[in-house]
Amino acid sequence: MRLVLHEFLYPGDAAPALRDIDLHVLPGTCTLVAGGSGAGKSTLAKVLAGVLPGRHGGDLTGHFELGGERLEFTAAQPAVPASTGSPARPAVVGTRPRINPAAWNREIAYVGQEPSAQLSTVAATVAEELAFALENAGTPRPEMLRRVQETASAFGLTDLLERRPTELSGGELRRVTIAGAAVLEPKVLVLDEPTAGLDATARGQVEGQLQHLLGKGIGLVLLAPGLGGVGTLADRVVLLEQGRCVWAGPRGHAAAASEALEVPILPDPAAAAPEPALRRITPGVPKVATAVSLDRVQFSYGTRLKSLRLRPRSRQTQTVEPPKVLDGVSLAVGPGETVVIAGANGAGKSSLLRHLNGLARPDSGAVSIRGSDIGPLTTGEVAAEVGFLFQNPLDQLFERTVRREVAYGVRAAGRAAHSSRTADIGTSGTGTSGTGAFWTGPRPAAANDAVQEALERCGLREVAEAHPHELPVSQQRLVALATVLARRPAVLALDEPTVALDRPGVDRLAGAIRDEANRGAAVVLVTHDLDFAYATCGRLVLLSAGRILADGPMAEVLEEHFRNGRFVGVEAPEAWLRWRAERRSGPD
Amino acid sequence: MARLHPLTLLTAAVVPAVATLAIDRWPVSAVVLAVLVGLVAASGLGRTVLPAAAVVLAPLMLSLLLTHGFFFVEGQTVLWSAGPLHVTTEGLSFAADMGLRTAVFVVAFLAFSFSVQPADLLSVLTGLRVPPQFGFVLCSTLTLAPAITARARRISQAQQARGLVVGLGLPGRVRAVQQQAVPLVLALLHEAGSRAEFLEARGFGAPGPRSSYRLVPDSPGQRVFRWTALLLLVLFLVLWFGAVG
Repeated sequence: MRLVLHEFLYPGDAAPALRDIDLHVLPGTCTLVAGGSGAGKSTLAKVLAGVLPGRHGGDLTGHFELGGERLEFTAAQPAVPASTGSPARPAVVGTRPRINPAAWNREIAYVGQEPSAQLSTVAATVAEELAFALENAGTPRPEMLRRVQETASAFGLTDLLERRPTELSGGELRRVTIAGAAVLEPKVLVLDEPTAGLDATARGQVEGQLQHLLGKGIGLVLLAPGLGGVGTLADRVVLLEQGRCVWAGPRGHAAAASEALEVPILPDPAAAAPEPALRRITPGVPKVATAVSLDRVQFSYGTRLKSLRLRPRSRQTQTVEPPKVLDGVSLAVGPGETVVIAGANGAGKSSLLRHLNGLARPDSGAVSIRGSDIGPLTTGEVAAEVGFLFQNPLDQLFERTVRREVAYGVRAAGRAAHSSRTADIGTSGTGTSGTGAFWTGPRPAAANDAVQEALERCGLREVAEAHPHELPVSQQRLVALATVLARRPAVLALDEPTVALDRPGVDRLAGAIRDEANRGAAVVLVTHDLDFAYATCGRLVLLSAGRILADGPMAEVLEEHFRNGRFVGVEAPEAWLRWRAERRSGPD
Repeated sequence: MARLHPLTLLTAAVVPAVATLAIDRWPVSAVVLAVLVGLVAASGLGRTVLPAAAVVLAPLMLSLLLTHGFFFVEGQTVLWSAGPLHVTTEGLSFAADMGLRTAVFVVAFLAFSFSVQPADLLSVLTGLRVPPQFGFVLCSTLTLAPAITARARRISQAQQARGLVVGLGLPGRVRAVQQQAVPLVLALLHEAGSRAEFLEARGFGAPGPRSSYRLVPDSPGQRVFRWTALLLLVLFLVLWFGAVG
């Protein structure tokens, strides 16, 4: 498959979103398209998938070479009708072959970034979800059965076939969506960030899946913000910047090329400078008090005992205790501390984080902020002291502009802060709106400054009037971060903050974490990206099956538990492994 | 409850609804409604269907009572009167007619929508060569409520995490819903747009016949039931309207 793309413009845009790209994918090879946020990776993926221009319009000039056929796209140009000589009623000339998606995805299949958005929503089981594309192509049922079974067994999904797609974990869902595309046995499979947000085990399984596809002679196109991780499967790398291919060549030379060309991609952790984690303890902040603490917290979903009927139609029931998500967790974090909570998917990390601002409430035990039990307070009241960054930015962005988004709640609290109600924790104000709901946040004089400062710290000044949904994912995440920073909380709880961030985004996040810690805030983050945590956090907490297995300074915990490079589904940071190896082979 | 064929369930909903509509007598509607509620409760769907039906029917019943119960101009037998308000036997009977007939309709089709498996319905519609887009819209409607609830919950949590304190009682609830409405609609539109792209990329809506992986169990008994019930319904309608006309 070869795509020679001269230009692609979104409808109504003057500047092309993509230009000058020549992508040649041979069977059984993997091409990595790497670039920063807004470089045009997802647009390129959709052009390859035949989704763009499609019904959306836009102008594509270039051609596809696919299975010996050449598919030419020329731009739709307004033509002057010869009879009138007037451009008043332009006709459209140019070729825009109409793509039949069912035929196209048998040649080039596509797996996007967000697996849950790709579910058909009408399949009751994983088997039906896998068969969805086959159904759309009108495949006879006996052949569908055979291909679903074969694909499931090749990808280790046989046990999941009868499960509901909505009940799968993130890693399982990702594997199902990849298998759902592979079931068509396409010549090329396009995958947009296929391992984002997955733990080490799931990442390994997806990588295994991709290796299997390469072995079958399927050509892969991966789109990613960096060269590491799943990108190591690539033979060739294409560096994309501002919609243009700025470099293409073998993977081994890509890191040097990206540095030379200053392409803002994430560095390969394996190539990162190995620095010891010991000196990453925030200086200057006295550890006299506790910013946030959990005391013997027990938590399970569905706190009530479940009654199950022993037999259908029987009145005899048995009570079943729901499994514990957190099992006696105690943790205290002081002002200025930066703590990472690591563990496999399902270890209870996000649940622990949600306890910090009261989104989840312990079945037993207590959570305190600055020594005050948050039990009697609502989440909205706790928010005066705890800023929370959700995993999916779209879950927390809902305003019309970036500025309004960052100001949400902050200004409302500012306006209303003179009213009767005052928070009993911390220094922030709380105000009623007089209608049964009110906001908590900084005091009025500080509100505007806080919003402006947060926008600048996250590099969002230029896009302050843009709609959050129109921004690239990396900037959406920064908007979400800015909403947290603007509140100047005493505790920052960040859930997988690095997912989908590009290099400038990661740098801004790391800077914000350092600055917040220096200001005296406690920063608690949950991440699978231990390389990022190694560079930014001083303390590592390991969680497994709802219990804390280890808690201490980053270097000590790594030294104690990660001698084999991996522990409870968590991979040691590459930089630490290199540092350790260098120390061993050093003069002493 | 055994998994029934979607067309069997549809027949079971259509027959009482259409028959009640045709007969148009409140005592008949009341008996049919009682039987339906009994069947729904016995099948284990009572906890989901009946509250949903109550939410739909309560405001409707109230407005019927207010408009026809108090202001039925054709009413002759006045039971109670105060100023412009006249409670008449005819008015109450009309309100009961309309209300109970609608109640049968609502309970029958809610029971259908809660008992049919969307995947079964799509499979049957595919077999009947119904355009897949139509089938998809119909099935998505059946799965929409839980998706909207989940999204609204996430938005509410995000707002609370940014300092919105939802007070107790009705004013607090109203205020919270007001805060959620716009983001909820925007989020659903965004989600629908991106899902449409992925459905298209997976070949959905392509020209040519579609096939179905899912087998929907049917039985001779169910087929007999469907045909018999529909034939009896048609026969009844012909006789009924023949007699009435």
